Amino acid sequence: MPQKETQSTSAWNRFWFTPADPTLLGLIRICCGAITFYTLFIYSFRLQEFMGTDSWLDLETRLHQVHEAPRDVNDPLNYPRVPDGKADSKEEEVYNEDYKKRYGAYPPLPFPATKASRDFTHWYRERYYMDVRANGIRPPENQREVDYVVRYTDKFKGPPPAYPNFDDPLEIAAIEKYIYENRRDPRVVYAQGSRSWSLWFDLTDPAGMAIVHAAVVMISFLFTIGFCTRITSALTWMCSLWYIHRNPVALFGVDTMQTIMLLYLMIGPSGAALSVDRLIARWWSQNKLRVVNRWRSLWRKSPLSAEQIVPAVHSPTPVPSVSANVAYRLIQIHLCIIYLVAGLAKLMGPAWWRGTAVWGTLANYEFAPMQFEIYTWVLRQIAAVRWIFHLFLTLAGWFTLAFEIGYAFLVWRPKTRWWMLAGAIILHGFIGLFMGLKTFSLMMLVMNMAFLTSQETNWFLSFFRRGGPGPRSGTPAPAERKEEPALSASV
Amino acid sequence: MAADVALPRREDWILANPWPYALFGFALCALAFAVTRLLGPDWHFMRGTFFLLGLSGAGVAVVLRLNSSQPAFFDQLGEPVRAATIRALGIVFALICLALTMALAMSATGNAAIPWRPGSLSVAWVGAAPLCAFAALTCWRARKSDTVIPWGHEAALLLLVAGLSCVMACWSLYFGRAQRLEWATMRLFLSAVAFACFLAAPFFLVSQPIRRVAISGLFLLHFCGICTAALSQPPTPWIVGQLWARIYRPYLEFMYLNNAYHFYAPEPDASTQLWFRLIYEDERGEKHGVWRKVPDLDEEGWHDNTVALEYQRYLSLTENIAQTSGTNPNLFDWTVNPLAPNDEFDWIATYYMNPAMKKRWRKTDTAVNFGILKKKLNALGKPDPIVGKLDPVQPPPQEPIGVGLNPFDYPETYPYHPLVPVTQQHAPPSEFAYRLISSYARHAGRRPHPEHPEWKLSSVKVYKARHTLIPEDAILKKTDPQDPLFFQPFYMGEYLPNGELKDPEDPLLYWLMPIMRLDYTNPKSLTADFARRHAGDEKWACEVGNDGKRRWFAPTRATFAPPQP
Repeated sequence: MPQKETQSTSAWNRFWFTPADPTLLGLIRICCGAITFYTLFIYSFRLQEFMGTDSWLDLETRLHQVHEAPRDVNDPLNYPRVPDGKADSKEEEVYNEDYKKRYGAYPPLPFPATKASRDFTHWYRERYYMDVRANGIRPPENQREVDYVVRYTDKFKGPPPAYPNFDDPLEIAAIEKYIYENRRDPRVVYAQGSRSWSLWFDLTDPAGMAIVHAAVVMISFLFTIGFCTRITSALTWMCSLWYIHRNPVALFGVDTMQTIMLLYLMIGPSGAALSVDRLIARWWSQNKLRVVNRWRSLWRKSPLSAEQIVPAVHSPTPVPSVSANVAYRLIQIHLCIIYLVAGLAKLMGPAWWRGTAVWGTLANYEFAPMQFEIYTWVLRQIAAVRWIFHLFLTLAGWFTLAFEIGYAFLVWRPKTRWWMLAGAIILHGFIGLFMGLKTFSLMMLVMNMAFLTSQETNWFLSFFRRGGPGPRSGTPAPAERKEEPALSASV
Repeated sequence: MAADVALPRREDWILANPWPYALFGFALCALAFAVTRLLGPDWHFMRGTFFLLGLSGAGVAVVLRLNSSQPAFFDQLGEPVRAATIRALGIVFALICLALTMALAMSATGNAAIPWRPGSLSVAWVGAAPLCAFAALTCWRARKSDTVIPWGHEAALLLLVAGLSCVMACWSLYFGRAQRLEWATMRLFLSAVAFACFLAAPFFLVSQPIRRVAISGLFLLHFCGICTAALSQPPTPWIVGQLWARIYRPYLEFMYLNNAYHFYAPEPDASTQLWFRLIYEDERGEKHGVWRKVPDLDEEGWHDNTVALEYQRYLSLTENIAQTSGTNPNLFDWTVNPLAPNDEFDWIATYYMNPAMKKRWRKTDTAVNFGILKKKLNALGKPDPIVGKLDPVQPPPQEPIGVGLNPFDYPETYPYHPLVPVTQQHAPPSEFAYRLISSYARHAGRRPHPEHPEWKLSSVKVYKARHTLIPEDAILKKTDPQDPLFFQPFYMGEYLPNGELKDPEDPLLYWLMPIMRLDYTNPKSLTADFARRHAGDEKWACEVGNDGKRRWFAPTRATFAPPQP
């Protein structure tokens, strides 16, 4: 295939498919993994209250939502057929005009096939004050259909949308049961249930749940330290969703952000740096020959020399990879969408225009730390002088709006990137301290880390290295890049 | 790949070869399937062991292959196997492409044999079919190649085996139509993993430009879905609503990426608490009530949860029942003849007062509504409505605001909240919230009586208490944020221990039970909590003592007696 890249294609490829240092991804994994471990571990104290059969959202209610709850589409794809009085026959014309004379409007479609049907439409309309075709059914043409329509209307206060299979009484019973339980006819709902999945729907024995939960917490710990990261990242994502899908009414922001991060950390090589995997790889590179020969001796095979065996490769610095870059880009774009939507949605609220919205977060007793005297003292000082009070609230509101709406546009520019990241620290620090959502704020800050550069990451990590802080290149020598793992090289 | 050919083949140990894991995994998944089919659904341990080990094997094989840049291991098997493998791969991808295309066509034409909707299938087709076609083409071109098989071919093959293992594992959890809901959600998950494997496999076969185009397309699809979820909150553009409901909802729900990210939008609102009055019956049939509140805050505002995260989860529980159905209360109901054209509006109706009104003290704006209706009807020459329908035995008092009238004269009657418009004092829950409340009531009722665990639970009365934002002047006056006056409890019904609503026709259902104060300017003055009274708590009045502590007590008729001149 000829390689003719336009400027935009080239920019696109540069944006998505340039290899990037996975060290930052490793750091993000540690932070995100630690928060995930914490959120999962906290379930240990009240596992049955949140996940058990008789939890707050009990299994029966949840399974109803998962398997049965009606899901609608608000409007049809095509415009509904409007009755316009057009008639294909003289008979139809007479009927239409008579209908209009009686009720003030032309009848809905379709035209009743027989005289008995036509009479029934009038009888139905005069008895129930609505047309039998209101939900799309054709007028009944035999006694069985008439009986069904009348019985249905008496029961459910409206005409049925379709005729059932009269030979299958179970089908009719199932339809009626569904209507009683869901207040909707199953034949008009677009879909039933949701695409939720969880082991906790089927594993309900408390002892079994406790064992599996302990395993889940252990897996999240292994993911945090980067052990078998390709596997534990996928398992952590999967297990975390078990809890989320089982009890979606006990969730808040941290769960949303955690799921996003776990997904992208699963896609990227999050264990390629700052992980136990790397320690193991280093150890393996030094000891592979010895271990393999010991293994061969168990099977009474002759030992191999170093030249005869595939060497275990270990790079002293993490190898840049395209998949790491992809993971960064996915996190960055998703974060920009989150901020932009959050900011734009606020513009619908009068309180944000009025400048008083921030008070709604400061004076919310359930979230704000109002049990601390110093906090209420500060609020009193702010509220004591009217102009200070309104200036503070208005500026805080404007800052929130400007930051959230501007983030998606300004964080990409080198000159304004740190302004945006500083804004994120201020906003989420404020949310964490004064609205009590500490884990959520931490997770948002972890997402913001995706905008750090390789140099900044290495500068930060140098504080934890022997020898103290100092610059260090995140790019390995070209010779080391050859050993890039297959997955990273695949794109 | 010329460099790969030139490399002398070196030995590696058996555990580095993914094929034993893959084949072992597939065999165990097939065994799990066989256990279900041949032995039935009761062999949980055996099936579970096969199932877990099988999926682990398949997963380890894929990870081993993808983390290694060694040449294909099955290349060692020689030319015939290599050629056959490539042919088989090509055929599989061609079949996948064909199957997806046929399924989409059949679904679009309304064929009932296809269980998936055209929306979801079109996404699957766009994601997988073209790529599979390219992969099949690549295999077709490479079928007579003499060079070694690149590792990508082996990765694709391993992914196909892993996908088939997932399909086997999925079917091992299907126990027949009668038990189709058992493990249904995990079957869904395994199907999705199998689909992901089948989708990922051709990526390793096609050329880099095609791979990049396909990946870019997937990213665009993904973020389009994220934007759809974000825009799906009303007001929603029609096209976004259709995309969300018909195409993206299954994917985003499955991945839990369906959040709209409208944090504190359109504006921050008050929090919600849940108050449960657990009513127990003793041996003599007498009833005793105990309060249980969620979240449980002490008088100083500290919660009793292990950590803040747990407390916030409880807050989420309560926030989810704040949704209302959005219907206004019918203060007056009437039936209008719908056949009458608008210009001859015919009030032939039977007018009657909403049952709830008989339990409420009349308030000025209600009287105004009533007056407007009466005037309109009189202008049309119709008789006066309603008046004769009021409860003749116990007519409501005429002008009541606050605790001005003595509630002991009206034991079954409740005042409106004096500061909230009447239409906002009725908050029927949405269908979803109603089911949640029922579930919460069932759970709350499982707690035994703190002092007499042998007493049986009789019923649970539920109140949704809106804790309003604390206004700045209250902060300045150092008013206690837990002052009862800041709460607006709505009665959400009395539930039996099994979660069934005891009386769906209860006239006070979903109405605000006000908390009122004799003197609103004095936080220490007498406060009457009608939610407590309604719940059967005899201590439904409170005063603040000189020590600043709130003291609830059982009021008497004299408590509300007007001061003597």
